[in-house]
Order: sequence, then structure tokens, then C-alpha cells
Amino acid sequence: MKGSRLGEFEEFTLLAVRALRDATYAVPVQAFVERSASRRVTMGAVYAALDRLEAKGFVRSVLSDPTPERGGKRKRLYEITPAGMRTLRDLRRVRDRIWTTIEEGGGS
Amino acid sequence: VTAVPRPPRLARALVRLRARGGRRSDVEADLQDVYTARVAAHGLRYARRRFYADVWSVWWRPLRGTEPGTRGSMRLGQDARDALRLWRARPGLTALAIGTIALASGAAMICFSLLDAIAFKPLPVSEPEQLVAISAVDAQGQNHSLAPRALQALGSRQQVLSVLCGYGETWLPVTIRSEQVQSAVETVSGAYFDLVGVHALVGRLLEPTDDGPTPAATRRVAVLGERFWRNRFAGDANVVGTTVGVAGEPLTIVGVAPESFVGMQIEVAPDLVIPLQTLAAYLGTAPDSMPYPYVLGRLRTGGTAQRAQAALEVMWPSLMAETVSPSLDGPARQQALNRRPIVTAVATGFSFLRPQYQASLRLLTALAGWMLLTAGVSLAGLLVARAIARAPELRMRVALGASRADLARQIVVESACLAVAGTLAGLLLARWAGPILLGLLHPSVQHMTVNLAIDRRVAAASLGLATAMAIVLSLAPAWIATRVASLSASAHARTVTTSYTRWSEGLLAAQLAVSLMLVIGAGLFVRTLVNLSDTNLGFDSHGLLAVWLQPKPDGYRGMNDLEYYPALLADLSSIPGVRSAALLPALPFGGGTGQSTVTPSATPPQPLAPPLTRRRCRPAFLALWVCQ
Repeated sequence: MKGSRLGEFEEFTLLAVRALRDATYAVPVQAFVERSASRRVTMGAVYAALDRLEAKGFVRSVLSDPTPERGGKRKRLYEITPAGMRTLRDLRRVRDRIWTTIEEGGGS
Repeated sequence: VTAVPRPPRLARALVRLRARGGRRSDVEADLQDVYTARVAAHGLRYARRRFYADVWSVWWRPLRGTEPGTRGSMRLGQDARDALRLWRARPGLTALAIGTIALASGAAMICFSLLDAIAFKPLPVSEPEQLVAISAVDAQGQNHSLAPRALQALGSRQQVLSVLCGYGETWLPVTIRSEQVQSAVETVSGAYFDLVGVHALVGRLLEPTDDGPTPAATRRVAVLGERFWRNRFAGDANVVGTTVGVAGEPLTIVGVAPESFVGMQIEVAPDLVIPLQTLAAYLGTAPDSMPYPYVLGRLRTGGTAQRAQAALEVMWPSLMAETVSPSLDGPARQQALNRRPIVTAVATGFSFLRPQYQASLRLLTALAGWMLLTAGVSLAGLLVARAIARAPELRMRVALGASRADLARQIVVESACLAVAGTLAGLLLARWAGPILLGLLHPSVQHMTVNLAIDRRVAAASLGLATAMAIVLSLAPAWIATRVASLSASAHARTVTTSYTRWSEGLLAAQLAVSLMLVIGAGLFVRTLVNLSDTNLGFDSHGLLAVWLQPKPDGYRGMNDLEYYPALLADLSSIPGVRSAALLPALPFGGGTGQSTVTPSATPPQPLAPPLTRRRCRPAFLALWVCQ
């Protein structure tokens, strides 16, 4: 595993894979991140993020069967791994903790 | 079944090149999916723009799971990024290299774009390759005008041309709301706009029905050029129906030509286009003898100028016999009948710069190409110096596992990147400096409309040529770099030093050789200029001023030349500082001469005596024109 920390875009991408449930691929992930983050996202950025997430063990990919609507070409399907889920929950917990502190007026 | 929109072919090719092997299939299909969705949601233009952005993003980011074939392009991207880092580390040296290439490639592009504009670029009309000019040429090769009835007879008999019209162009005083301006005017017959195939921007253009065989049968109408309409009429759409005075003749404006229309003269777009016969009164010609300086025609599909020439030569003698003016008789009539037609292609339009500068511009373009080669050799020398300076870094790379091929490729990519950056800067330079050079060629003509735009093929050819040259010339520095890195780390430092010193000296010698040729050429050029400026003209040109007279229409009726011109000369001579003044129709050594046979009255006539160049002038010409 090459490190366990996530950059902002990697986190968005991982959340998108989770939100789109199992066996999603790069195109819905790109559309989801673009829509949710309200910013333009290129396919190259999505591929790079998915590759990094896979290298870190947060997602895994398999090639689907060829489909006629894609001209007989296969999709690279991604699904989140237990390690990826754990990292997302950890991140959320850290953020929740910080926000709670902020809302209670602490930390100053 | 709905057809799936296909992304641009170039972008698809880039994807295939980048993502070969295991990732190619799914990446291609993903990008196609995204493109299809965007076309449906946002339209074709948006989808294309985003597609290129996606391809660019995929191109620059390494994809996991690609097979060995993709590594080459990934490495090239990495090498380009390394080159950028090196440039940032040495900004002065980088600016020098890019500036040298920019200057050389910019000069080459300026010269070529100017040569292209005046000699090769076709007119912006529909199917310009079908346009021909028909001239009636005498035995001495001089062009003669054609009478309207000859044009009419030619039009009804010939089968090789689909449209035929008379054409001339001149500068005339034009009066707009009591203000007079000197304007470029095309004097044509009614079928002119059918011939060039343009449509009116406002109102209508000239039509065959506007034109008559005589001035009396011709409508007093005019069409404005788009720029003249904007500058002089503030782009007023209600201009149609108003009157403009052309050479004292009131003409009704019937429409405005589109912006794309630049006329047949490439240097000056016409301000007005009028039927030629409306000028008969101004020029004082007989009612039915207003001839057209040129006849223009459009070849039928599949026709050639040679076939048209052959067809016209057959019918020409009978055509001339029927249409030559009955008032002509004796030798003059025979001379008119002896003229023959010459058909020439005019796809590139008429130009007064072309005969003057075409040869010089070809030479200049060749010199600029040589300068580009000099810049390339200089760049190679620079890269050698840089490779030597980077020896420790290169050795470190080898120690970390880089192969000699990796090092060589990096030098070549760096050189290619420098060439691309320099050529792009040269492109900007050419766009800025091109109009300045054009102004120097003919400073007396304002608002030249020569199209100097550097089109895609010229830009792509320049870019390709500069990159290819940079790659070839970087092979020696690349080889030196690999030697430096692989051998210096061992005990053979002296061998390496000798090796790259030999290469450096070789490059320096090549640089000196090409530079020397350039310097010698430039020196000879300057010497020729000095010789020309020192040429003895046969009179003292110091303190001479030339003043052109531009007569006002309707301003000199009933004027007596014999009284007016001496009075004008007397007025000019009485100005303080003027020693004397003279009148002449054209400047000495400025063209515009006539030729005639001169024989002393005491000797019998000699029909074969060589003609003498003559120039009419008023007394005191040899003393001075207007002398301060």
C-alpha cells in the first residue's frame, strides 16, 4: 500500500465510488464529482485519482463483459474496498469532531 | 436508430496514441460516452471543447495498467516537463535560445507570408481558379482596351466562359455631402459581381441591366465597399437611394458589398464600384467609345486558360473586323486588327507589388531560411554547452538507472520544445511586424488590404520544419551528453573531454560558416544599396521637392491651359525659398515614360530608327521642379 492519506480530489472520487454503489466506472464518477463539487473535472484527473486510490488499496477494479452499446468495448468497473470504507469513516469522524468543537465554541 | 456523434478525429487519434494496450479500449469507450452525453446536453461545440480538454488531461497523466507500448509517450511527456523545469532554472539562457529561434523563424514567416500574399494566395471569391483576364495585345506586347461592343460580341459568340465582364480600376475624387475624398474606384460592366460571385451586404449589387453599351443607356448607380461604407457613412443601412458624386457625376447608391469582397486588386479594396460608362463625361470620350482596360471571364467547369486561348484565337480576327471602330482607318485600323487575344489566369488577382517585389521577396525568404539554419546551429552549440555543464546531473541519472537512450531522448525533446516555443513566438512576431514591412514596400498607399494572415498550412509547415531541424541538430549534443554521462564517471575523463571538445569545435565551425555566408550576403546587399543611392542621375537632386496636382471635378470649366499653368508656375516660383519650378507629367526615373521615333528634320525619314525615350516638360525642368 502506497500511503493511506487522501487528497481532496481523491476523497471526492472515493466518495463518488461509494455513492454510486457497486460496479461504477469512470464516466459516472466524473459526472458525479463535477455535479457535487460544482467544478469542471477532466477525465484524466478522474483516471489519475482512481489509479492512485487503487494503488493505495481503497478501490479495486475489474473489467466488465463487452457490451453492444459501447461498441463491444468493456468498462473498467470500480468498487470500494473495506480499507476505503474505513478511511472514509475515519475522515468523517475527524471532520465531525472538528465541527462539533467549532459549534460548541471551543478550540479558541 | 440515432447515430452516435463522433468526437474530432485528431483527438481520437491522440487518445489511441496515448492509451495503447490494456487501457486503450475502456478509455476510448469512456471518452465516447462522455462526449455523447455532452453533445445531447450542451451541444456539439461545448462537447468538442471538453473532449479536447479530456484528451489533454489523459495525455499528460500516466495511466496505470498500460502496456509497454505506452511508456514511450509517457516518457516523452516526462521529458517535456523536465525541459520546462530546466528552462525555469536557466531563464536567461532559455530566453536567448527562444529569442534567437523566434527572430529567425519570425523573419522567415514574415517574408514568406508577404510573398504568399502578393504572389500565391487566391482571391477570396468563389472558385478563383476559374477567373481569367483577356487582353488584346499588339506585336510589341502592349495591352489595349476593348470597346463595349467588342465585349458584347465576344460574350454572344464564345462558349468557353460562363460570365464575361469589363474591368478597370482607378483613383477618382468622390464627393460625399460636399466633402471631397480621393477614392479607389472599380469601373466595371454590369456582370462583374456575377463573375466574382458575392452577395450584397445592404441593398443590391450592380446587375447586367445597370449597364448599357453607351453612357446614355447606363444607369447612374454605385455600390459602396464595406469599409468605405463604415468609415464615410457610419455603417448607415439607409444609405441606399442617397447620392454620391464620383468625378463630378451624381450616382445613386444601390447597395453595399460584403466585407469579404476586396475587388480584383489585392493591395487596395475598392471604395466604390461603378459602371464604367458613367465616367464618359468626366474623361471626355465619345459617347460610344469608352473602352474597358481589361476583360475578365469565368471558365466553365473543366475549362482551362489554354483552351479558352485557343477558342478565342479562332474567332478573334472576325470579331475585330466587325467591332473595330469605323472611324479608324489606314495603319491605325490595321494595327487594331493585328492585335491578338491573350488569356491569363487571374486567380491571385491584379497586383502592382507583384512585378516589383516578387523576385526580391523570394531572395529574402531564402535568406531568412538560411538565418533559421544559423539559429539552429547556434541552438545546437548552446545545447552542447549545456550538456557539458550538466555533466554531474547526467552522471547521477546514469547512476540511478537511466540509460543512454533516456539521456539522448531528453536532450532531443528539450531541443524540440525550444524550437516549438521559439516558432510560436516567431508567429506572434510575424503577425506584428508583417504589416510594418508591407508599409515599407509602398508607403504612399494607405490602408493596404493585402491579406497577410498566416494561414494554418504556413504555421504548421514552419512549426514542423523548425522542430525537425531542431531534432536533427540536437543529435550531436545528445550524443555528447550520453558520452559525458556514461564515460566521465569511469576513469576515461580525458577521452570524453577530447570527444566533446571535437564536437564543440565542429559545431562552432559550422556556425561560423553559415553565419559568414549570411554576413557576406548582407554586406553585398548593403553595398548595392549604397551604390544605388550614390548613382549619378545626371542632375543635382539636392533640394528637389515633387508636388502632385489633383484636379477638382467641375472646377476648371472654360479654363485656358496656356494661361493657367504659367500663372501656377509663377506663383510657385514666387514662394520664399523656391528658386524655380517646372511642370512635368511624370518624375524622372519614376516610370511613366513614352517612346517615339525622333529623326532630325534635315535627314530623310528612317522607319527603323530606334525609338527614344521622351519626356514632356515645361521650361526650367532641367533647372529644377520646385527647388528650395
